Amino acid sequence: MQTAPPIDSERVRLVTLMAAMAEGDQGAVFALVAELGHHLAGTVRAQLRSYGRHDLLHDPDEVEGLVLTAAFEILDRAGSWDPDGAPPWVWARNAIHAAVVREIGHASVELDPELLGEREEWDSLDRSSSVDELDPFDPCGAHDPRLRLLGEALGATASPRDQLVVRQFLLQKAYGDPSPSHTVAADLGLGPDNVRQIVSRVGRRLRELLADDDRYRLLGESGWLAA
Amino acid sequence: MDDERWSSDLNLLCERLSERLAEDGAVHADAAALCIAVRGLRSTSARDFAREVHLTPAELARVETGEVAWADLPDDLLRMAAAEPRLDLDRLRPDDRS
Repeated sequence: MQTAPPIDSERVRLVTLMAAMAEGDQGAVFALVAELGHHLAGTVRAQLRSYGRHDLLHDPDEVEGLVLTAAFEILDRAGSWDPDGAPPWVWARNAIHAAVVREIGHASVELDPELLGEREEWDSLDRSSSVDELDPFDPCGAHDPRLRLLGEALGATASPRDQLVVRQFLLQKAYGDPSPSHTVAADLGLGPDNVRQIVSRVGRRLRELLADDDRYRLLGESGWLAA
Repeated sequence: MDDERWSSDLNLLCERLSERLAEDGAVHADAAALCIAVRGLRSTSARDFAREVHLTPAELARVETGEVAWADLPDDLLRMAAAEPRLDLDRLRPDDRS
């Protein structure tokens, strides 16, 4: 006979705090930061690493400020959080990402709303929620040669919309989101099945490209495109 | 410091909340943020906390929306704040005690 898994006391506490914040209780953000701030710090550090901002990673004051920024992003969105879904620091990753980028800029590419506005092909997406202004898989800003390769490979195999979907999906997976299709779908105004379909289709094309072109060998070794 | 041993500066959080409240038009945002911080760190509902500091829920709501000056905060609340080791009243108290 199977026994029920033990109740995760941290999860129970998290659900309580998020419910309080959803009802407008700003006091709960203090408990969130005091008790679960290490998760927010993990998200912020991962984002700083992904931007190549090792200078900020080693600056406790900068990380501290960004953790609090992340906490306020979660507070402001608590009413939309699904207690059965990913933890809020994963679920709100895009919003946190956008807020972090607003505060620190980007290592190689400063945020330029004018430039982003020219990406007309993105206009068909519902960008009213928390789509990233910049993402670390953007080949323009990547320090990691594998990321640049991924950007090139995506550019050769997918439409701008599908590139965005795949980048967001891979990033969400990298952050440990157990339901990346749902998260990306909600961010981009698509259905989860649609996201899975796009990722599958583009993944197949990328693997074909990797098999045919030695330039992408490094990308194949990354494991990012594992089926 | 690794993430598991992370410890946030809750005074800074209080100051950031105060700034947000002020931007939203709270006149006594410092006092409001302190009250919200103390209650939040005690994980107490507004109704229970009001009772603990001998205010009515409506009076507590006025404090938390920044309608009550620091100098007029209940003594019970200030005692709780002073007893909270993660908060530094000297740092959070506004210079003009308004």
